[in-house]
Amino acid sequence: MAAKIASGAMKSLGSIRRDFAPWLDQAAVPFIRFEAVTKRFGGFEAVDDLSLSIYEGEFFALLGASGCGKSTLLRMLAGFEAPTSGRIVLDGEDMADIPPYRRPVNMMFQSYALFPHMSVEKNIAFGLKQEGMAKGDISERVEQVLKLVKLEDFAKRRPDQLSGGQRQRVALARSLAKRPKVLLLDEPLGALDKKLREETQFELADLQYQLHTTFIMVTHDQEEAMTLADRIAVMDKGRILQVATPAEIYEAPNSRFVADFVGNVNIFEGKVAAATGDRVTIATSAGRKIHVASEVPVVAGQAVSYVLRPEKLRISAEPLSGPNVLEGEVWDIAYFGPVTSFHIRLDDGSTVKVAMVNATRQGPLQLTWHDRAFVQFDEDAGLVLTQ
Amino acid sequence: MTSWRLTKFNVVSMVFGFAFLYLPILLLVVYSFNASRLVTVWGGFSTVWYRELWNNRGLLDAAWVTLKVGLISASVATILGTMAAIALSRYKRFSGRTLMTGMVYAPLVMPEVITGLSLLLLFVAIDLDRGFLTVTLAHISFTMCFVTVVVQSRLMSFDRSLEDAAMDLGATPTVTFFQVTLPLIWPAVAAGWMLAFTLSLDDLVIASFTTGPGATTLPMKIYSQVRLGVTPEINAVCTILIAIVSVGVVAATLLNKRRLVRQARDERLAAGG
Amino acid sequence: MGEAAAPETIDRRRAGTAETRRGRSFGSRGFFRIVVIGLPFLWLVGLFLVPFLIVFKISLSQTAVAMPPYLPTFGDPATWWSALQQLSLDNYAWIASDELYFNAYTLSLAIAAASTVLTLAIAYPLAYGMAKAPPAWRTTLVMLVILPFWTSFLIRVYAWIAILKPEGLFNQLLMTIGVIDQPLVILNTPIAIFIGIVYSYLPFMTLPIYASLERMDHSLTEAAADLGSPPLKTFWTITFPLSLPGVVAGCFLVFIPAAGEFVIPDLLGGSRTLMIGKTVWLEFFTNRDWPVASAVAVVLVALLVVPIAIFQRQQARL
Repeated sequence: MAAKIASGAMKSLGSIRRDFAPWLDQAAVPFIRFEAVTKRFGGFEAVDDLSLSIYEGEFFALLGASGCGKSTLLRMLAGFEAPTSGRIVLDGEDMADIPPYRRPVNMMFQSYALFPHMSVEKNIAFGLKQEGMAKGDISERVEQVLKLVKLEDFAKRRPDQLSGGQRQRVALARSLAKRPKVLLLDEPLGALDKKLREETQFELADLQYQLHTTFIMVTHDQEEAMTLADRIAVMDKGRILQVATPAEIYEAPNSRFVADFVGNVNIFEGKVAAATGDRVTIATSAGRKIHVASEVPVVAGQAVSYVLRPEKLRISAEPLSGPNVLEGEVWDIAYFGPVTSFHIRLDDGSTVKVAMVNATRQGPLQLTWHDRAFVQFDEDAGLVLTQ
Repeated sequence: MTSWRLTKFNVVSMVFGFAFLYLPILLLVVYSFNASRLVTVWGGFSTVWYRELWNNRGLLDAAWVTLKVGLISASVATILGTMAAIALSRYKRFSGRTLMTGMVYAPLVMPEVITGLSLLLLFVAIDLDRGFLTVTLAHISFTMCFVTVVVQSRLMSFDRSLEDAAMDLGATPTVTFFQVTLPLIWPAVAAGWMLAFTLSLDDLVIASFTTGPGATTLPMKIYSQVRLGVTPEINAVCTILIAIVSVGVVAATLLNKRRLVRQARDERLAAGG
Repeated sequence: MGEAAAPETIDRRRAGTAETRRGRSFGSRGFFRIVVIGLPFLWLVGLFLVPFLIVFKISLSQTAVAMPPYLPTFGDPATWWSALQQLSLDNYAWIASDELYFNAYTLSLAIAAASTVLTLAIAYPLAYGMAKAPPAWRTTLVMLVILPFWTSFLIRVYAWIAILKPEGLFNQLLMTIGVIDQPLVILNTPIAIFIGIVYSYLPFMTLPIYASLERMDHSLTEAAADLGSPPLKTFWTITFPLSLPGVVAGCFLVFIPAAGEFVIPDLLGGSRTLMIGKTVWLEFFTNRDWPVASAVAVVLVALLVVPIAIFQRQQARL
């Protein structure tokens, strides 16, 4: 694949967990390796020649829109689908001939897949029984995981006697009961409402920290991936576009697709007008010149995009000083509470998005629809991308 | 809200349809209590035909044979039919899948005379004496396809991730089937058994082809008596069969209703806690 | 590449593997699959496909006064070749030459088609009413349609004899209310066969139509009304086209078995109305001409093979 994977060499946008970055360690052995894995369903390539390494103890997120192949990747690791070609290695063992019921991974299903005819307790004990664990040990382990998810009082209930949030925790407890080497989570919070989802996110992160188990999560929700994961792989059309920490993905996307997919972004298309060292002047297709800093070497005449997050711009009703001052008309305002978002129709006809943090109760700005507004950004506020 | 308001036309067509379905059966039941031998004349209430029935050895023997054939063939057909349903809904790729699909659906609509004839010719060709065994084999074959259809439709709506979850937790396909799939599709399997049992009890044509001396089934007996002329005893047999079926169906409905009530209660509980 | 690196990793792997493999030797990978596919497959081949091939083979044989009453038989492998040469199409020629068979086939197909239309005419309004009934009633109504099916088919057909015969209840009723003076002859005519088939197969038509109507989104008819379509027009442009899969399934479920029906024409149709199911029966039991019975059956299947194939395709898609 063509996209280069952003490396730690780029910037010190590290992991949220201090001192945990095995992917930067040349000597570290990956715990899970996908080696040139392809999966075809009929003529459709769900996963296309994909390689990926995941390290022990990592909380890894596969992020992408539906149909991008992320779930297929997870199901191949669980053993429900066999790769058309390529190899999956888990903890040094090739998974090719190992059926799902013999793999040391467990999955938390999107639908939870709780057995409706068994109590919570029996659901959790199910996997342990398959191992032939002694009865006493089973009940001890069940008690232990129920405590972990704070459902001790619900052991005898059946799944249809539980609320959505409780079911989600039972599903989690069941998949953890066997102490898998890797826990797979398929849209783990997808079925919860927004408030519960936020609470559960933190619980899930805590749990992973306590257990040190490798978690691999599939999600289409960028916020969920950013909150939980040590590293995120952004996927599209069966390929991985970028694997990096949440901060790198957001601040240093390696392509327009990633920049656009994760968060809001302004994209200025254009050609390099002049480049001296890391100083670059870009002539945008709207006919404006912007002066920016580039981390990648570019040459004059090259087609590039400049991506700029809305919160990296300043906005004012008064003329602003500094490089890259743009002027236009307020076209749209959306008030979100913590931030206010402006769409400014520039005089060249293009639109930029600006997000302003509402740091005080009364915003200093009294801008409203159709007012003149000034917008400014610094040279290193955004990123020059060549793809 | 108005979407299910019934028009006069709807009510009339339903009344007509159900009257058409039930009047003949009702008449049969009423006339089984007729003291007169003539079906068309009401001679007062009587249970004479039931008593007569009790003394009719031929009919009772045939009923016993039918019951045995029905129980054995329905049970075997349920096992085989369920297997076929799993094969067709869970294994999308195996050589002979198209052939198997054809062999499952064709018997559903195949005229009985052809099924009966072909099975008989098979038994003759392999020199198997016709009798209890051959009727049972024949009934297994033609009822198993009905079981397959019933179970397959349940498997289609079955949440596949439950089976994935079981295997993910270390259960082999066999264990998964017995501990997860079967307990959940149980009502459909039971319905399949009931259907197979009913079809077996009801069958005249295939049994006539494939049976031999000593294994005359009840429908064959009824058929020969009906051809000789209407006998009120047959009304009594029919009434008893209808009563058994009605009791079974009503019981099943009540059980189902109780399950639904419990489910509704559970859901309330879930919403509350 | 790097597996050999950390020794602790390898130790853990061994421990993990031993643990996860305990007690699994029985579930060798394809065991369940082989049994679940293989057993019903073999059964169906042995007791559906092979018997049918035997019917085909015997349809090419000659009648003989023997047991089994046909020649050649494939007993001794040494005589197979000469036996094979004795097979002929004589029985088919016989069927083609005798008008009796041709009439029986056309009559069967005509009666099956007519009764299918009649069944549809009664079943559709019934199913439509059921689908429009309040949801709380619907289970009960479906139950009421199925219930007669659980009672003996033979008995239900038999009940109609008592109703339809000249001194039967139907004629008595009509004479009592003065519609007719002379009893109508219904029993032993094709009309009685129609009534019998419609009556017996009504649930097979009603249920698929009901299922497709019930599944339909009510907001579609509301949308049509909202856009200005009067009820009857809405029915023909929206409801009916969407219920077609049910109608088609129902028609096949009635037409195909009705074409080969034996019991109904035999009990209600009398001896003059000879349908093809009865012909097979007579050739087999009365004339003891197994080869001709087989040939008649093969031709019937050939006639039904197209509808059966369409029916299968439709079922497989569901």
